[in-house]
Amino acid sequence: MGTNIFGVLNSGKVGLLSQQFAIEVTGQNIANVQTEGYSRQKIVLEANNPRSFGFGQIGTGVRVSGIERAHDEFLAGQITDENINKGLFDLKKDVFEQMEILFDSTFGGSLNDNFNEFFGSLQDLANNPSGLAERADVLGKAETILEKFKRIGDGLFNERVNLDQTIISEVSEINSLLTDIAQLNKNIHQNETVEGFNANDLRDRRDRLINQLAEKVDINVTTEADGQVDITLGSGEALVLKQRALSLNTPLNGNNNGFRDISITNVGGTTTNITSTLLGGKLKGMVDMRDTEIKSTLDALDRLSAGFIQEVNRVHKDGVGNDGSSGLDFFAALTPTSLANVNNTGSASVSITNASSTTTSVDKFQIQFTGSNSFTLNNLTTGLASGTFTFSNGTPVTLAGGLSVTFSGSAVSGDTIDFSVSENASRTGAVSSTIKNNLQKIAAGKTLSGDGQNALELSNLQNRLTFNGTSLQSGSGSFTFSDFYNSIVTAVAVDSSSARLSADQQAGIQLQLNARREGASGVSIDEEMVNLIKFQQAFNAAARIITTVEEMLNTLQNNI
Amino acid sequence: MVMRVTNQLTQQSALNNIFRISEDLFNTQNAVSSGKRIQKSSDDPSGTRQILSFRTSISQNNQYLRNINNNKGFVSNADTALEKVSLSLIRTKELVVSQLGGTSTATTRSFTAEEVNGIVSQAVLSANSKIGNRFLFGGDRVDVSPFSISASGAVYQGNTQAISLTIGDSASLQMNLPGSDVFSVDLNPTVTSSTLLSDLNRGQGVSAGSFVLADREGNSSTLSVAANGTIGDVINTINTSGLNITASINDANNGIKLTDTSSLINQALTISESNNGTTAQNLGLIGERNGVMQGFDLNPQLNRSMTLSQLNGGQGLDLTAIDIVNGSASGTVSFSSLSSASSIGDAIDLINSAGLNVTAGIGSDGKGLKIVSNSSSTVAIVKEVGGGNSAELLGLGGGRNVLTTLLQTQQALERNDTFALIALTDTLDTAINSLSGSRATLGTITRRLEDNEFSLEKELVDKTERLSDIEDVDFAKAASNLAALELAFQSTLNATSRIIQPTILNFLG
Repeated sequence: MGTNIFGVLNSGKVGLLSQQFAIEVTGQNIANVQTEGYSRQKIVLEANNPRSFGFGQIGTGVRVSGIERAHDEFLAGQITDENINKGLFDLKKDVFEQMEILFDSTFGGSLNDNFNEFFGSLQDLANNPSGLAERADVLGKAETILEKFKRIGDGLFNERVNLDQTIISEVSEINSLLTDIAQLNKNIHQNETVEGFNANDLRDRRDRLINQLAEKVDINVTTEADGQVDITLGSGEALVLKQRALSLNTPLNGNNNGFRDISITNVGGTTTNITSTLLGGKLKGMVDMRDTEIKSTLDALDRLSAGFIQEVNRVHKDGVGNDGSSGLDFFAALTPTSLANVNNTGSASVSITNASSTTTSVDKFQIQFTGSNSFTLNNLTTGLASGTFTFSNGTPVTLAGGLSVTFSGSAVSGDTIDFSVSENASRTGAVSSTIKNNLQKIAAGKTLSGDGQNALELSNLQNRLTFNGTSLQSGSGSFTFSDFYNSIVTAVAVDSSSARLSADQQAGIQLQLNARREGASGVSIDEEMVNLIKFQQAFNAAARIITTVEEMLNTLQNNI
Repeated sequence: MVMRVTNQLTQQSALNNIFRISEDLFNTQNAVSSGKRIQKSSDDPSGTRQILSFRTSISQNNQYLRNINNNKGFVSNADTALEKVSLSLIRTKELVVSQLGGTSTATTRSFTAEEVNGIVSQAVLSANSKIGNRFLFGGDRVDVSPFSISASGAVYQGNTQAISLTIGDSASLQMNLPGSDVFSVDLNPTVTSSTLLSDLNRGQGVSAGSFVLADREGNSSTLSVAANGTIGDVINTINTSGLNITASINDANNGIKLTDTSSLINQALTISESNNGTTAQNLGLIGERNGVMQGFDLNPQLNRSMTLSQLNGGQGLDLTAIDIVNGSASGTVSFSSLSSASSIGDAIDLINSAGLNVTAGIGSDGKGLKIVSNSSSTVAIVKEVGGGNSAELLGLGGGRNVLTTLLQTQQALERNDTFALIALTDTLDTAINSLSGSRATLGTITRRLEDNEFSLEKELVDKTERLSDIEDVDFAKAASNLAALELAFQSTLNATSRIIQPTILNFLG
């Protein structure tokens, strides 16, 4: 065998085609310069298999061995992990900001001002106990306080409802992401294993979806040997197993206002409730805010409202109105609510009446049955046990300082029933209709002679230390109503401020990682232009080879 | 290896920087335009807490100032009223002295009596003055004019209660002088188990009948009360009713207290009338309570059998001796034989058995004693012995018994009783002194009000200033911040426009 002029022509041809490929890849890179999550692609050229001669080997040109994407697996993992935090922190920051608006007091208009006005109006009444205008003013100021309580309470509750609605749509977005990722797994597998190509763009897309998913829920990503990924939750439940996507569900939780829980059914058909085991992402943020942060703020507000109502009633009851009436509540007495756990196995239920409107505890309580006629009482607000009791159906038991509780149905050990007088108190408080219909019944006096002593005692409640750190503790507390309200406002402000700080820090981390990712995988126009020139020159050179061969052939054909 | 700087990276970091600076700029602009350093509570949570408590404190301060300003008139009107009465008393004293002169006759004295009669009416009018709905000298009672004159003397229908004005955090000030401290003594007996029901409610008694009492467990019982019983009988009836209720004298010693001892709570402790009666209300027991009912003030009137220790709201009476002048007869009645367990009846008996031809008894308002001469031509005048004050304490004349003293003067002039007129010069003096004392007290109240007003206003300024320190923007600082940020912003925009534009394309032919 000798040298072959057509071999040269062939080398020229494959060179020409390869450079054209390279230019095409460059074109693709330039086209995607602004595409988010796009990884710069690189053509891999390789010398073609050589031909052997007696004296050695000679190459047969170039071939394209593949198109690779510039991708840093480790960095991608880090970005996924940080996205989980980003989702969580951003969501918390947003919701806390919403809560802050409800308590906004920077420009006046806080509940505190309403307290001040109410107690001030009582001092005015004390100074003129028989004045009807003063009485109307007290009523008006009292109703303003209740309206403010209701506005904040409603706002907080609506925030919970909104979050609950968002959880439903968030879960459906997560489910469609899972389906897409499983589908991409399939496509990538098809491309790479069956057809043998690098599925660069599909992998980019899958990476992007995984990052979107990570913002929503905490995930671990495992890449299988065949290039497909498995995705599991931080707590271990599988979400995507190669080409199979599982889906999250949102069952109603009767123990939590009918809000949605989050559950997943695994391949074997077992359903796990993952509401409390979520570790990160937007979804955990929503659950946390809905069931912990907003709820505890609302509970504290409810206790403040209930405590205020009870304390005013306590003092009001001892006074006497202009018409000689006495022993009346100023605010409608708090109504007890009870809720049997939906998972109870027995049929026990309770009916509760507030038999002592001014002495009952405003905390939340839980009856935990220890047998068919006995239970322990737990104070859910303080977390302390409040004694053990026995009962028989139909005979009332006195609990929590004045609630008359009558049992019915059959109790089974382990079943629980929650009750409290403060549930939703901030949203349901009202001035007693008896008082509202006859202002003379406002008990300003301590005697039947029209004095203002009791109005004075009512106004003294403003500086009375009625609350301890968590709840109403009439007579031996360490905080006034205003102090307690201030602590609620400040707690939200502190949480909001630290949520904002976390989110800002996270944004910084995100920025760093993104810079690194861009450094490794991003498209630089400058670089691509250099490549373009490079490949164009190579293309020109290859064309020159072909022209040269053509000239050589001409020489052979015409001159020989 | 150098870092690859890609297009997206340049764009993103440029945008990031622009947003960061423009956010700072926005916040600073907001601060400058609103004048507030803290835009939302999370900007400075601890500052927010301070702001909230300062606002409360400022608002309370304003209310205290309002209380003071609204009631200054009450005090100054009271002073004006007392000034009038004081001048009348001095005039009365002058009249008495002039009628002791040699030129005075029964006729001039009867004319003078007319004038004193006018003075009495004037004094009652002053004593009954009111501002708004409140009587200046009625204690805290607003439903009845405090003073009137009956055939047997001055009648006080107010009470001994203070009217308190809130002038600071848990600080209050008594702004009134009850009529009993100024014009007519009120012996204000407490309620004991032997107090007669018929003496209650200023002598109106308790209407016989029954009421329904229910304990917190839910047991109820209808209990009857006879009009002629005692408080002890009522307490006993309740305590033996089988209900989980213990009755006793209330904490203020002026009524009945009911304490529920139920261990099961199914309802409130409730008392209600049966057959539309008023028995329960007359006993000061109304409505429902959660556990303890402190019955209202039963206002018992003075009764002979009441002990001295039971008077003056339970503080007791410390009696020494009195001088009685009745016509040419005069003598000293010593109370040294009385102990705190003696009854007011014992004191009356001592006076009546002194052989001075007088009859002492309980005044028609049931609040103090009165003394009348058994002779229609003389007037019995009671004077203090030495520096004592027993006559004043018992309501017999002098000192705080301004109206009684005026009435006695009028009577002495009418009856042309020179002995009484001479004695009256002394008692009128004590009355004038007592009124001066009352005016001094009012002066002290006014001064305290003014002092407090001054310090409250000062505090208000201080607090407002400190609030401003916390929540308001330091304008000089904010303005220079703003300028610095604007500069930074413009520089960034400038730099960005230069960095972001050029690519190699600009330089390729």
